[in-house]
Amino acid sequence: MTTAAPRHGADNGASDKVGSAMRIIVHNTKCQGHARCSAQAPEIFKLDDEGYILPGDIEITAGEQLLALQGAQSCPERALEVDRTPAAQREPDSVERGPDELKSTSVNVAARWPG
Amino acid sequence: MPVSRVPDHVPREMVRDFSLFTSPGMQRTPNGDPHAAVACVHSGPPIFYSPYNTQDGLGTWVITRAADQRRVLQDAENFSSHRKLFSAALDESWPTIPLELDPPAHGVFRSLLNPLLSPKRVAELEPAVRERAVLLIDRIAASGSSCDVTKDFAFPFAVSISLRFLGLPDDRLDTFVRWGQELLHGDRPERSAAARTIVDFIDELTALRRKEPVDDFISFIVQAELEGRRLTDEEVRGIGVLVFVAGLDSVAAAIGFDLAYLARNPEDQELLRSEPERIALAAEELLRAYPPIQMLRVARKDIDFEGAPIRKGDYVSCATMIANRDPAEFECPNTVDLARENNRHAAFGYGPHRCIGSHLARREIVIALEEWLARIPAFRIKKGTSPITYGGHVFGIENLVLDWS
Repeated sequence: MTTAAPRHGADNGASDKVGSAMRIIVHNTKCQGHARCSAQAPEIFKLDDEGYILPGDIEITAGEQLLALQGAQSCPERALEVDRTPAAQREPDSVERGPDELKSTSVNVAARWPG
Repeated sequence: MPVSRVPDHVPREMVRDFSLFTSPGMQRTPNGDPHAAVACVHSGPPIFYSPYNTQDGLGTWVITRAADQRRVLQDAENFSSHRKLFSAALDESWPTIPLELDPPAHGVFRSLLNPLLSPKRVAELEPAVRERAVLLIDRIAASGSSCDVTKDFAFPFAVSISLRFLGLPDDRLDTFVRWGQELLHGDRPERSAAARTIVDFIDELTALRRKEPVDDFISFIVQAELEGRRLTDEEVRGIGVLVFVAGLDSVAAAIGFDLAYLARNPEDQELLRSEPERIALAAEELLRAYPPIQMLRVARKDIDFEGAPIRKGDYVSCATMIANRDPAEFECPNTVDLARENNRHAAFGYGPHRCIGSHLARREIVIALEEWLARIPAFRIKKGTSPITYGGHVFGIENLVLDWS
C-alpha cells in the first residue's frame, strides 16, 4: 500500500469523523496525464514536470471533500479512487494498531499515514 | 456492401454497413452533422465489423461503447498503435513518434516530449496564444460583418500556434494547411505526394537545425539525449512529422464545429458571451459533442472481445465521436448541455497515447471562444450559405460563413 503525501500539517484530518473521512487512492500506472483533476483542484492534485499526478494517496480534509470528489470524478482513465473508509478501519500498513484504536472514531490521519 | 473485403474469421452477422468514410453524412454534406450521424451505432451491438473504415478502404472492428474503448486504448499489450499510417502512404514503414510506438519504447519518447506540452508549459504559452487570437479577430471585426470563420480564423489561429511551437514562421501557413488537407482528405496519389513533401520538408529542417541549432522544437529534438545517445534521423523525422501534421487540422476543425454550434444556438451563444466564466466548462462539452479524431489500433494477438473474434493483425477503431455519444456513459448524449459536469469525454483518447497536445488544444479552444465572443456580436450562419461537413479519419467543416450584420 502506498502512503499519503504529507500535503498539510500534522493537524490534517484531525476533525475527520466516521462517515466524513476521505482519501483519494492514486493509481499511478493508470494516470495518462490528462490533468483534469488538477484543473479542478490544483492544490489537491499535484502534477510532476511531465504533467502526470505525483505518486502517493491523498488525504482530504473535511473542507476540501467536494473539490476532491469533483477532481477524482473528472479522470477519464479512472485513475483516482475515492476511499471513505475512516483511516482507523483501513488495512494496517506501517503502523501497529490495537483493537481499541480500530474502533476509534476520531483519528489523526497525518500521524497514521506518514509521507 | 463489398463482402469480399471481409476476412474469413469475421462472422457475417457481425458485419455492418457502417463507415466513418462512406456512411450517410460522412462525405461532403451541406449543413451536415456527422457527429450526430455516427451516434446511430448505439442502437446496435457494442462491437461490429466495418468492411471499409480507413483511408485506404481497409476493414476495421468498430468499438462503440466508451468503456470498451477505454479497455482497448489502455491495453497496449494486446492493441498496438504501430500502424505506420503516415509512412504507409509512401510505402515505407517507419513510425511516427511517439504515436506509433508501443510501450516501453513509447514511454522514453513521451517523457522527452511531455514537459514541452505540460499544463505548466501551456500556461506559459497562453499570452502568445491569446495575442494571436485577438490580432486575427480584431482584423476580421474591422473589415466587415461577415467572414468564412474556418478560413479566416480557425485555421490561421490554430496552425500559427502550432508553427510557433515548432519554430516556423507564418508566411507559408496556407501551403502547410494545404499539405495537411491533401494528406488527410486527398486520394491516394495526393496523399503520397503530400506525405513526401512533408517528409522532405522536415528532413531539410532537421539538417539545418543539426548544422545550426536555434531556440526551437526541432533544435531541441536534434540536441536531446535519450538513454545516453542522440536521436537517429529516422526518430527525429518520426517526431517532427507527427508534431507538424497534428497541428495542421484537428484544433481548427474543433473550433469550426464549436462556432457552427454557437451560430445555430443563439441562446447558448449569448449565455457564453454574457457569462464568459462558463466557457471553460462549455468547451469540454463541445469537445465531447464534436471531437474530430478516430483512434486506430492493431491487434497484437488473437483476442475474443465481447463475443467478437478479433484476430492478430485486425484493425480496431475507437472513434472518439462514437464513445462520446454513448448513452451508457453520458446522459442524453445527443443533447449539448454546456453546463454538463463530470464530463469524462474521449476527445483526446484514453491510455498511454492520450493526445500529447491536449493541454495546448484545450487552451486554444477556450481562448478562441473567449476572444471571439468578446469581440464579435451575435452571429449566425449567413443566409444563403451552407457549411460543408465531412467525416473520415479527422472530421471537418468548411465554408462556415458567419454573419453579424
